[in-house]
Amino acid sequence: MLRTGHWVEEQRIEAGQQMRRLLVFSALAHVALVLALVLGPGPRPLRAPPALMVDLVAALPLAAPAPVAPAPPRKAPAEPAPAKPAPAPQPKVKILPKRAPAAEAKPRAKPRPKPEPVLRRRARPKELAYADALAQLRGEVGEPAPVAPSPAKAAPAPAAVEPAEVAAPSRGVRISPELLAWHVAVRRHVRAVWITPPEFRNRGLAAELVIDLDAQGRVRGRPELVRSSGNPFYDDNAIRALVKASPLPAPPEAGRRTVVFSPEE
Amino acid sequence: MQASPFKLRTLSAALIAGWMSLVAGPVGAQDSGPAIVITPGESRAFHAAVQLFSDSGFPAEPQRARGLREEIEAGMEFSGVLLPLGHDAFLGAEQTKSLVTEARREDCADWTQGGADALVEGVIGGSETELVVEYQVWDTARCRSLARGQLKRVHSDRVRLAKLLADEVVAAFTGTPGVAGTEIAFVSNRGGEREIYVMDADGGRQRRATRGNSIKSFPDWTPDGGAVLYTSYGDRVVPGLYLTSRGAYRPGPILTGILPKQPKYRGVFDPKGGTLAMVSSLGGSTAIYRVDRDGGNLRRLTQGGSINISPSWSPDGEWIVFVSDRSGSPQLYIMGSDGQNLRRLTYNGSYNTGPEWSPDGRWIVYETRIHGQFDLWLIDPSGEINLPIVSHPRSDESGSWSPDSRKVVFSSTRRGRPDLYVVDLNGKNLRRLTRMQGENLQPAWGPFAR
Repeated sequence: MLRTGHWVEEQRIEAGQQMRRLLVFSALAHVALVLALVLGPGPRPLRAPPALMVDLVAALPLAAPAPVAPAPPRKAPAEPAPAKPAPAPQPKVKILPKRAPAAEAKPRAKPRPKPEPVLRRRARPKELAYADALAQLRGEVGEPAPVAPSPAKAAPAPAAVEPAEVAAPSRGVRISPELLAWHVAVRRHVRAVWITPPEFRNRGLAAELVIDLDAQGRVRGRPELVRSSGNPFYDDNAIRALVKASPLPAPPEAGRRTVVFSPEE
Repeated sequence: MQASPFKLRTLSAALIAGWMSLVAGPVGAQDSGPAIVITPGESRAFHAAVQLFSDSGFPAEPQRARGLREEIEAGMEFSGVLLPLGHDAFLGAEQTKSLVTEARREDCADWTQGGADALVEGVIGGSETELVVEYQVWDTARCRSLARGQLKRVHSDRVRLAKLLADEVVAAFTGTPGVAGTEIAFVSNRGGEREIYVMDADGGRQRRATRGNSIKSFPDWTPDGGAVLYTSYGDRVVPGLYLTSRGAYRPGPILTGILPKQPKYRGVFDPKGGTLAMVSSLGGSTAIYRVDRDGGNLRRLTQGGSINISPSWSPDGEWIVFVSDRSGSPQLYIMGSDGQNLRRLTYNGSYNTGPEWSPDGRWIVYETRIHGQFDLWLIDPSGEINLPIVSHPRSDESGSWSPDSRKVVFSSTRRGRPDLYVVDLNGKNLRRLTRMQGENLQPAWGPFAR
């Protein structure tokens, strides 16, 4: 713990020194710039840059400007991440059998600083603002989005989304940016209502359900459990989440969709 | 066999990956496009609306229904899985009229919109001597009855009944009961000598379980919760193992026929209750033995002249974690329940003791000494993840798991004399269970209430 504290302190000192160096450099640069402006040639005439034409209408079928909800902050998983404690070296201690059953006497010492908190897993990158905006807009207009099956267009979008989002497309299933964005929106929407107790997490459980969505994203009928996790309480919890989540963001097309609930982080 | 508990994470991840690849491909492609994969967000608790139960019990008691509801809600609050919904948020009826069937339940949407994941309704009845409560638990989103049952207790045991009912509600929702109705055994000298005491998990009903003039230590429950095993000198020259029972077991010394002249420092039942891991010493070394409950099949599991103590079984009974000083300082080791496949578990810190394996098998809680004081840490059985659960300038010791593996009870000197505290696995909801009543040590959390 002490070693960790010292390490942090060292980082602070080093950062301070670096800041001072940067300030000196910045001051010198400003002086040089002023000198260049004063002593250098006169101003050149302004030239307009070439115009870029963007076809916004084709990209997004805007009905009206819609406020984009900020992405809910993703907390680090509740599950702890690896961390190695580094207690200060202790004198070698030999534990001896007491005249049992008397409890082992342990030395008491003065209060000491708390150990550093455990390292947490890195926060996952935020989802694409584009995807959120697109999904929101699709929901606002309530219209199926034009599918863009061109591999050239579709290819960049999955790469910008976190890997978990594109588990299916990465297996060769081609998916449009619109559909991908809808997946992201649905995922966020259902996660907001899916309560997953700790005993369901990281147990290799996964349930697959099929839902029938109307054009507004409402779940028609009951979610159909097509592959059980093996734990009926987990399956029920997944069905419960879908019922609570209805209506989902409006889909590109009404119809049946497969949803997999996987509590693996 | 050796790898089974340690490779579970990897194995499950591989299974999931394979499974996911199956669903992402054929099913999604033929029917409804690629599957939407939902992974969990942050952990939250469910919320349950507990109605005022209709009360036709005898004798009439105006505040009984209200008191029972508060006690049920307190039990749910303690378990932390289903938190009680504030009564102001009730959009459905405040009071149960009668238990209804699914076909007649019409207000599920009201409860869902009010924020209730579950609804608990009930009817109080009974006689002059007995309180009878019928209850039903609803899943409001699906409008389904999850559980319907009846609990009976004498009137003076109403709080206990409420805790058991709260645990049933949790079980109906998650498949794992709550722990409000569980009990904790511990050692206290509040009456002068160190004796074994038992209390409810929330600190209620603290009562003495042993009497005598000798020091008692190291309580451990039988897996069915029918008795507590402990160490005492009794009327003997060397310490031995004893049972204190509430009826199903014969109280008194056990295993007196084996190793008669050797001290038996500690005994721990395996998860099935048929076998004990026992600590005994011979010729200066302290070893862990395995023995059947009736004294048969005695077998020494640890060899050599080192000190080997504090055994704790894995939930499948295949492994034992224990403390040994064979490396020069006390460290945790894991061995098979036959003494084979020995492996050192802890390498950080020079003094790691007091391990207990969680009932779900995922963690081992232990105490590590830093600057002369002890903190509670968790380590997974593979030794890859190691983190503090509670840390304080004073000592926190003797961690023991709740049966749902969500909480740990421990002894701490943070307020001077040792007292017992309970804390959630994430380090939150610290709660003090004993107050100003002598020293309170060595807690052992019992199994689920039955």
